Amino acid sequence: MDTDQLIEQLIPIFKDVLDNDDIKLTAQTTAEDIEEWDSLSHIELTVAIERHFKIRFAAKEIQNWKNVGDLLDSISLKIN
Amino acid sequence: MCAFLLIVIFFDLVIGKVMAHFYFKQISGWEYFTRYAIEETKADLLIFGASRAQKQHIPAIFEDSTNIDSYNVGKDDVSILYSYALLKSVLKRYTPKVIILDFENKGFVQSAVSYEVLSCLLPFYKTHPELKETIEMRSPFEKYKLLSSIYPYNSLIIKIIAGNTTFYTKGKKEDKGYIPLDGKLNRSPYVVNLSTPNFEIDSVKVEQYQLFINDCKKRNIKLFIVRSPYYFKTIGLDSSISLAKTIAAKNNIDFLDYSTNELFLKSPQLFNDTIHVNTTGATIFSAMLASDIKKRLANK
Amino acid sequence: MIFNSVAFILFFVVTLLLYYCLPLKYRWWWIIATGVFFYCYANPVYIIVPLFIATVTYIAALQMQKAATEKKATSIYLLAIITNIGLLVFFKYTNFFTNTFIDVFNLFNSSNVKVSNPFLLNIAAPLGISYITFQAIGYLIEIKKGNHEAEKHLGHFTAYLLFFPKIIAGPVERAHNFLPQLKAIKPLQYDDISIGIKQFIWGLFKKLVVADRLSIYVNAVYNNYEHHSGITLLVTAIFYLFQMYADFSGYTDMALGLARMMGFNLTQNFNRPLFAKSITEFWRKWHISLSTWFADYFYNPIAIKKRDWGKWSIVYASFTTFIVLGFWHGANWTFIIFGAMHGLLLSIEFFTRKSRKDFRKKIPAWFNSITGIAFTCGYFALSLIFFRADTVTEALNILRKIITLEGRFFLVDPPTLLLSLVVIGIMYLIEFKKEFFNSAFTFSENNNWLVRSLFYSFLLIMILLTGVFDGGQFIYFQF
Repeated sequence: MDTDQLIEQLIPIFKDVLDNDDIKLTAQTTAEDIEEWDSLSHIELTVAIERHFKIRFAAKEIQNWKNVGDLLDSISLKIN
Repeated sequence: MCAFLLIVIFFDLVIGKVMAHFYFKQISGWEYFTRYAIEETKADLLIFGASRAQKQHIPAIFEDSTNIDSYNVGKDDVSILYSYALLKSVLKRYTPKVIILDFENKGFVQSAVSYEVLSCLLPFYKTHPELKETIEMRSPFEKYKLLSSIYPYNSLIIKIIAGNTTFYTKGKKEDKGYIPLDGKLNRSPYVVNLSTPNFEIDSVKVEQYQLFINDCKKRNIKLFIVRSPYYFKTIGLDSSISLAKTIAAKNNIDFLDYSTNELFLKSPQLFNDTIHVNTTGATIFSAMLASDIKKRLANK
Repeated sequence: MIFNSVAFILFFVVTLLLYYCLPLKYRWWWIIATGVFFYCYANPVYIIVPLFIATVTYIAALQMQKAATEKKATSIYLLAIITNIGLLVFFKYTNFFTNTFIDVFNLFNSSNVKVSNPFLLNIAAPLGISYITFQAIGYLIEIKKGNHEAEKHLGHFTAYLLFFPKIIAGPVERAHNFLPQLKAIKPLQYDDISIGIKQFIWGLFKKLVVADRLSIYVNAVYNNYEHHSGITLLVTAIFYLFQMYADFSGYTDMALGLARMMGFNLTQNFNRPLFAKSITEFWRKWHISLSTWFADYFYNPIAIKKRDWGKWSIVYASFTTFIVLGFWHGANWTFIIFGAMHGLLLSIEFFTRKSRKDFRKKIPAWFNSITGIAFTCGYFALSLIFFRADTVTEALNILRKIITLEGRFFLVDPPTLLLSLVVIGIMYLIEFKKEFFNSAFTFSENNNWLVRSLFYSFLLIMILLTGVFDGGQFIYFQF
């Protein structure tokens, strides 16, 4: 799966967890760009993403994501 | 940066002058009484001390008994440090005939409050050189803080505003410095051990006490040191009182101790609280003391 | 030495002059020298503790990085962490734990004789031990994670831990924020002095004019709380909120101002928290360096580890984090309850996020702001009742009196009360303007030097006129 397809799958997850229908994501998006994305909802997002892709991240990975791009890289590694 | 400092200095001078102006114009309140004591009173019988002096000695009664114009210059929370400074400024203006110094338990004990409360003298720093030494006891940096014109009036702004009105109802001028209390106790006295804990003595206070005595003797003022009534029974001796009595005796000064007077220890209704009598109590005590003093004055 | 004392001002002037006279490469040892002097002024013996912590942590970090195996690195890491936590617990919490143990023992002790604590230690905690150990632990965690290179210069690392502006009350500075600044030291910049002094004056104003004035009133009531009415206690609780804010943020502003005058940008620790609209937002604006420390090194790892619990992982993480955060402040059950109260509200806010968001859409923004701010401040003031009380019983008694609102309001001391209200008002207005109308005409940041000068002159004049010069101890000292 390439980056765009991954983002396509992520957007509904973000919209659902963060309860915001206007979310748009790019590889450069960070938590600062989205009001509802904070350390609390971050955990919820992580769990939702893990469940959707049926993968499991390491704690170290989760703490190191700086933007959506990093998140996508982690996902790619796990599903390929 | 220099311009900034100049602006600060300018406002400091201007506002300082305004504060001084209204400070000295006060017509009511504690600061008014302080100023009156330092600059105005000309009474021939003065009562010095802290709150126990202020609330237990009635000038009118002394006047009735001795026929000497009397005034009470006692002030809350002060110590011998303040009393001696006040004496110096009084003696600069005139010589009273009789002085009563109300001396308390723990009167010589080390206490930061005794120095903090000397802030009431700050407004007089520039105009009363005799107070300089006492004021500078507050801290080694006091004279630098006093370069500011506002500093002497620190924390007083609300009080000064109120003092310029008749807002303060406690302390009527006709009471001549006496502050009446109207509470009443209703129990038997506690027992207090005066010798514990062992507090450290402030040698500066002892020295000022001796100087107080010296200055009175030099000017031929009849000095009476008084330990007024307390509403508790005691075990042991208060070290300050013992020392004060010793020094008084050495200088041939009468030290009159009313703290063990049976009448007061049996009469809770004469007391507002453990360490202050109420108006009735003050009337009785002042009469007793006045008569005692009258006799001693006649004998001398 | 407290910042608002003549002795400190003299110390700082000398420190600053010599600091800028020294060649750049020697400045780090002047930082250590002044840090040691500052530390020893309070209690000379205890200086070995921070020096020991600095050395152990420095060595451990380098060894961890050099370690041949992951296992070895982890052992060194754990040893260093335990040393730091061990020192902190030993100095601050030993008596708490032994007392609690003895209390429980006495509870089950069937004989009539209650045992007293034979393990009671009569030692004071070294100055700023909570801050020093937390900075060291944070550093070790970052090295373990591989986020940063271990510091090779022992002198630089010691200077970081002993930098005197932040010893007593923080901020909890991250090594990777401070060390690069130390290595990139610049010659004297006028801006640093100018900005630093202004921040120092603002901090001094909050501390001397607001905090110390309020403490006179608050102490008079709380030290005698049994004799005061519920209404008086309620007013006092609110005053204490402003006192705590003015005291802590004021002292922090002084610390940041001093650091800035020496050319260092320390982490912002307060962001006008009294305007937070929820407790979640509040903790992003109050003691920011501590809450981010806990968020990064405590909350996140826990929440991530327990993430399979779903929403309950947040609750678990919130409670454990804030109970420990509360406990960090002092060895007393009151601080634990303080923390638990925040864990509770954070969890509740988390669960009600969606419903509160929907509700907000139906009400005007200004109403939402006012109620949010009022509720948040009120809740924090409530938690501060536990924070300040000596025992849980005392706090509960005060709370009971407040809830029943028994008795009449006692003025305590009308001039102090009135002055307190005035100075709270001034501080609140200045901050209100900065928070909500920052783009409008500014005073402190105005382009016109006269306006700026007038503003800071006003602060200095207020300090001379109404600042409390006698006494006034800083509340966070024991940390």
